[in-house]
Amino acid sequence: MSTRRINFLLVEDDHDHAVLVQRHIDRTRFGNVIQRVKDGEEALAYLRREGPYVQAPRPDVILLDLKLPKYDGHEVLAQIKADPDLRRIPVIVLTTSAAELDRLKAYNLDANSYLVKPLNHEEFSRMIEELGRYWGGWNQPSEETAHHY
Amino acid sequence: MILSASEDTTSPRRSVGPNVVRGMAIRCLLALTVLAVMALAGYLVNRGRTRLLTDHATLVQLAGRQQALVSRLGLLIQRLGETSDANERHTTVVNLAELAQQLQQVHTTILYGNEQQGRSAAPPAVRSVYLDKPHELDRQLKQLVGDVRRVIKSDDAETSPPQSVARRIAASAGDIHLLDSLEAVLTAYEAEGRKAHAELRMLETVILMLTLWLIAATGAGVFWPMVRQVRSETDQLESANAVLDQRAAELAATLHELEMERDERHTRMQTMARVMEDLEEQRGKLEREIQARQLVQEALEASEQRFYGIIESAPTAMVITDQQGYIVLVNAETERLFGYSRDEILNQPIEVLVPRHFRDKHPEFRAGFFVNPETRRMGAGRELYGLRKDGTEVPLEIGLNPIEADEGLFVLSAIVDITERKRHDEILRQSEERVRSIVDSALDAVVTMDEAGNITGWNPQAEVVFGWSATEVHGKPMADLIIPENWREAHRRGLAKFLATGEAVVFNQRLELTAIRKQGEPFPVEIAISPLRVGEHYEFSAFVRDITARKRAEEEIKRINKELQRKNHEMQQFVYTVSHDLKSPLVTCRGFVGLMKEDAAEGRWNDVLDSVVRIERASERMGDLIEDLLQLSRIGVIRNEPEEVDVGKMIHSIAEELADRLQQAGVTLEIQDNLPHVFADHVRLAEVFENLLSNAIKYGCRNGNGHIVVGGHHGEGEVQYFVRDNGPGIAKEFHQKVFGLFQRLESNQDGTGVGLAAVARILEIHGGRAWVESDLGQGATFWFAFPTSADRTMNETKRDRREQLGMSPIGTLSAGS
Repeated sequence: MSTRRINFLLVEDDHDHAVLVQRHIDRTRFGNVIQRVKDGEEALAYLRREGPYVQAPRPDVILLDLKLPKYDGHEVLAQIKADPDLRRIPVIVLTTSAAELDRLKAYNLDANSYLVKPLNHEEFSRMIEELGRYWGGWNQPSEETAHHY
Repeated sequence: MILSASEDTTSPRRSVGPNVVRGMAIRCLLALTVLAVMALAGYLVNRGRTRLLTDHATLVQLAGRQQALVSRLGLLIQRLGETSDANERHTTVVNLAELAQQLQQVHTTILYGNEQQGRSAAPPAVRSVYLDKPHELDRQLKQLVGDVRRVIKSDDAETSPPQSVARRIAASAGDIHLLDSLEAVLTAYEAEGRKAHAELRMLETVILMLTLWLIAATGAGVFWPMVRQVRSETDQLESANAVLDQRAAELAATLHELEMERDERHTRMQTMARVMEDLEEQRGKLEREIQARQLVQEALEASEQRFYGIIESAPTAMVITDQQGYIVLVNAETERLFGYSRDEILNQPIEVLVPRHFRDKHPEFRAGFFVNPETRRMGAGRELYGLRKDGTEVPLEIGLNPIEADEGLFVLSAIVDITERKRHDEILRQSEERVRSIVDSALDAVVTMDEAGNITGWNPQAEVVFGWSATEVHGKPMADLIIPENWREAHRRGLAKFLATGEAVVFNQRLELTAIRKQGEPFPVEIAISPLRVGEHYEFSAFVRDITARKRAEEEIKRINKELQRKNHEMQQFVYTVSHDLKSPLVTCRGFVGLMKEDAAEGRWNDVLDSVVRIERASERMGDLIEDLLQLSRIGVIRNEPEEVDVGKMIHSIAEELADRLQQAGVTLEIQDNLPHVFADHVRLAEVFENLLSNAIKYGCRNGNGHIVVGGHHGEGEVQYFVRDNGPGIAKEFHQKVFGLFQRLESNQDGTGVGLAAVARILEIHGGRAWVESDLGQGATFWFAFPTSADRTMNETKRDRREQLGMSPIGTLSAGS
């Protein structure tokens, strides 16, 4: 079992919301926000290591807000899941809506989990912990292996 | 003649049997074989001769050669004897050796022949020269050759003095006979040759003679008889043919005669038959005539009887009067009708039966009839009355018929009591009158049509609905007047089908169709058609209702329904979008409240303060958002009267209000001159400019040297204005989205995301449009346009243009979500 912290990519346009998420993650001691981007375009550029993100490390988890400027969060989710390189990165969708329909919409696009804002700290911590246990180190295929498939 | 053919001794039939032919063939074959043999013999002989000549020539050549060699040998020997030069002697010796060899070869060839070269051995005469005495040439030559060789071989050939060698050879040469012997060989050859040649020649001649003779014999013995035979055969055949031809001709002539006789008889028979037929016909005719005359006679008698019978029993009153007007005959019905017995009125003037007020005129009319006596109705167009015995008048119809009789001209009047009929006519007229008034007063157009498709009825309402007057349409084809062109064919076909089969789909139901008015304009009608059977024919009547107004109302209802549905849907979308966006600041508040609780419990007061500030800001934002939304909702609900707006002045005053912000952002504002005036809601127009300018400052001028331009000009049917910035610009894909509610292109906290949506809505209400021209890095120009038509109301939204731009009423508020 790895004791490495989980690296998050946070895709959130609202600054306050981003701060909230950041604070939550800091308090769990399990996570680490390695990058915050403000819209879908930047998120994909980061993931694909384009432009200024050429050296970017690969995040363990993506936290994706659905309400983004320019490109809708659903579009970004679809793009990530369609990219063979990126689709194995778990995506947790963050949204203000708890509606059943929205949940289904996100899951239909292969979101791995669905969290409603504002985050409940217990719930969130537990999730991060479990992520840490499940995804940390030995359960995750190495990048090279992943690349081949 | 034909019957006796078989007994005829000079029968032309002869069989050219197969035997004769075979004999001829054999003879020919033999002759040819013999000739062939002769030819072959001749050839062989010739060949022998040639061979002989060749051999002879060769032998002569060889013998000659032999002679030459011997001579040469002699010369060489002599030379050997004369010279003492060692080289020369050596050469001579060598030559001698060669010569000796050659001599031997030739000798052998002559004597024994050469199989390789095909030369036969020498003939006996020559051989005897070689082998027998006196010559014994064989021995001589061998000796010579042997001597020469020995001499050459001996060591002292070259070294010994030459003469001695020569002498020795010469000595060993012996006889001088050599040359003679050689000569003898030649002679012997020649003799042989000549002999053989003579033999052959004789043989040749013999063969030639024989051949010629055989040819002659064959010609005479074989070919000549053959030719003769063939000729006789053909002669015989020809004569036989001639005989046959002759007989055939005779037969043909006989046949022809017989045929002619037969034809003649046939013709005679036909003629007789025809004559008989004619007689028969005439007899028949006479009989019939007699019969006919009899019948006519009977008929005449019968008809007279009938005539009187008919008159008497006729259901109409019949009165016959003479030229003076006296009644000469009446029937039973007359008695009944007028109430007189016949005795009472016979021989009375007809005026007795005429009512008094007509009596005076009546004789005149009578006279008038006789001027042109023809069967006709009396007093056509006039009402006629008769006078009964009891003084009552009765309405009549009278038909007059002139009758010629021997006694003069009479008039037969047929008189009909039309009291009943008049009564029925009146009833009918009344009922028609009733129907007519119903139809005429109907509020629907009533049109009737006959089987030919022509209009037979057209009520006043029809005149109003279609525009044609009754006189214009009566008798004209209905299809051409009120049915639209593209349906006329179908109508005609339907009518024809019904008349033919009795089937139709249009009857006795309400149909909604299109008809055309007099001017040709189409309009919707509701029509009910019924077929009426009138005697043998059909008539069709249709009740036609102009439903233009109704249709319009239906359409309007549909449209309003759709509009309502759409507005409903958009309202739902709007609520959805708004609720989502309002949640955002709320989430911030709740989130930080949560954090705050923890922080407060653990005394992290800095963090608490931070959270409080954020909450404050978020709630402020929420307030702004709600405020802007309220403003948006007011658009279109609170209307101000449109007025002429001096746009230049308006913008300048807005610029003054924004002066501080402009200065703070380091933005310069340029307002173009001569901005066109526009007829619009002053307040809303100001809002549009405020929003656009605010956006331009916020988003278009970030780098500190922002520059905004405001301008406008007249377009086609509209007035256009723009607000341009030199900011980062907007990518083409977001040009539509940007006008949507809450659709932001970046996460700038300043804006509420309502501004452009408000602009779009305002323009929409005015029947105008808004759009953006921009490219990434090229700044952005926001355009909007107001239509210049002065008589439009503010609420009249031009749907087409909106749909063209992909904008729908509240759709702008939910676009992109």
